Amino acid sequence: MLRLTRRAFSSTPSPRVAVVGSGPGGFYTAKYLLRDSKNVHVTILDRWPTPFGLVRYGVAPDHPEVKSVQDDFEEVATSERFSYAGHVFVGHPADAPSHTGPVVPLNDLMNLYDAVVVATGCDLARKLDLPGAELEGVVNARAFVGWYNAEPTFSHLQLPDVSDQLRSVIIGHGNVALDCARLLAAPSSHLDATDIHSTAFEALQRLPSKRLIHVVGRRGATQAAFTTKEVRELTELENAALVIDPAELEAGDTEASIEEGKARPLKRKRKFLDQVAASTNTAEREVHLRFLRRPVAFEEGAKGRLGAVVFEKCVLEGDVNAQTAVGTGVLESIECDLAVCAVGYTASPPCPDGRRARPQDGPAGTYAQVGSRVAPKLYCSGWVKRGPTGIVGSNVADARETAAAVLEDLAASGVAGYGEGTSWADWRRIDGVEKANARNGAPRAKFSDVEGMLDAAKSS
Amino acid sequence: MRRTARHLGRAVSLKGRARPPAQIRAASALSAYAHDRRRTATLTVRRRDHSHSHGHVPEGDPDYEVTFRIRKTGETKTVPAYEGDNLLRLAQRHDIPLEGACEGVTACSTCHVVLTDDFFDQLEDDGDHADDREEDMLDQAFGLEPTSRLGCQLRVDARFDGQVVELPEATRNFYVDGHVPQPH
Repeated sequence: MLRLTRRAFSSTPSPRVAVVGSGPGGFYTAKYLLRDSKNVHVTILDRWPTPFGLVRYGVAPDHPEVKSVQDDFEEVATSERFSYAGHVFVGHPADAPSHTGPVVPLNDLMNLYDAVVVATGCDLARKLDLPGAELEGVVNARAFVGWYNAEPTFSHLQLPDVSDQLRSVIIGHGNVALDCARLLAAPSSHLDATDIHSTAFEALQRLPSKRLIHVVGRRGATQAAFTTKEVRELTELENAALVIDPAELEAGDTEASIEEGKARPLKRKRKFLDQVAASTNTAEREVHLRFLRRPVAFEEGAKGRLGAVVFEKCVLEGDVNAQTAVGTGVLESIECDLAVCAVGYTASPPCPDGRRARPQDGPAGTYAQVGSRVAPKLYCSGWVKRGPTGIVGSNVADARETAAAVLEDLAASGVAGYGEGTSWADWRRIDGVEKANARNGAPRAKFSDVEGMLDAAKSS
Repeated sequence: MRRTARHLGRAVSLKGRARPPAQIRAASALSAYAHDRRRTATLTVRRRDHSHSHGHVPEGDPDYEVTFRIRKTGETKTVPAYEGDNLLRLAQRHDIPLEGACEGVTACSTCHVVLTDDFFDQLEDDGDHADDREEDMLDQAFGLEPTSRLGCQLRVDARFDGQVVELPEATRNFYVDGHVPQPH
């Protein structure tokens, strides 16, 4: 339905909201803006011609069930009040030097729309600023994930050229780290029928069959961000084994850790890790889950490439929920040909002042907003709002809150004006119903009451 | 305009009306994930099985009544249910705001519901407990409680008649409600 506003008689008949970013944060916001209003029009912009953000470029290819949320988004996109503007970069031109589509500064976008929701996520990788980080063979998980998911920026990654076995180290204990480990350990049959980047698939296939993957975290199992589901998947791969040293697992069991571990999810996770640690697992491909080791340097090996990652053994110190990894001075070097740094993402959202994007004052560079409102007419949703944590579904509550804030402000500002009229599309539906209701041979049965017409206009 | 169609479809006679919602259409394509081996095997009291009636609204007299309670508003809604109804789809059919982002394939936790202690215990006693896959997703649900389950994994039978199923409060402002930066 068309809603008349104070501008109904000029060029824009309804409030128009732009959502920057078409990942879960953006699409869920669009969904609730459309669902909870009758007249708001939503345009989603994305820097890529293709939509869905991290559902397309973040979710691992062997997790198709997580991607089924796309079907919900496709349904959102069928709304007459929805439009998509792909291949449009929002921000400063200098922030997108290789972008070949239109570049729109955020402040211009804010002048064009009644409200703008930034849902650009956390696009940057947190870097490990350690000696040797520039060595060939050290890659960031942001690039590695982008590579196997065919994100154009990262489609040209090179895996090390090794002949007898691949030795790799993944630094970090989040689900992204385990995704990387699983992709490196998986047999080709596991990835065959997925939407993995074909070049990445072939490169992984060409690696020697024997693979050793260490996934190393600074703190203990209780503090690790990975979930039971992701660990479990590492135990279900064909021809691969997950290995945990029981002593190393228990070394993190400080009194504070035991207190932290009382929540149901953590108890389940620990129980599962204990089971893995108690079994003797060996296979051609082994993933070793390592704890209490802090990376201190990348060491050069043959041909000037990465040869090893040096770690310092740590102990946990501090209060419940605030324990830190404190180095013991004991070093351990893990030889490897590939190191993937998976230590988190940060945001660098576009600025309304027209200057270049930069990390803001919120957690992980997110906007330092309270709730959903960044500035007048400017809102945020998804990772750029709450930081790079949570699963796809975490965006639901978040997006609802943002949509509610936008709609509340639109109503208060008087943009949402005079009530509802009907659109041409409404007429097409009325026409359809009149034709469907026709008696034998008649072209149509005309509605003689306005109420009937309006009911028909709302049909699909 | 799925929601509008479900709201008002009854008022008009249009060919397009019977088109199932997208999540239901897609769920059949993913039936390998949606299939719940354990529970199918243990359900013995079924009179009619509507579990494969994706999309179309079951016909005939309903078998049971199930009440949904939305905690945030305190609102309750009692709806007719059929043997074999998937609890998530039952809620969606009656416009109860249960999300189901992954379309019922145990890949998210947005259809999180909380059962009463007694009802949860009854299901446990009958061996109808959550499997590992469901538990793994529940771990990531907001406001997890001892009697939490995923709606998409529950199929209605006689035991559900007269039960009250609660929808936990979903909204949570991450930053305002005390974002705790993780120390490293």
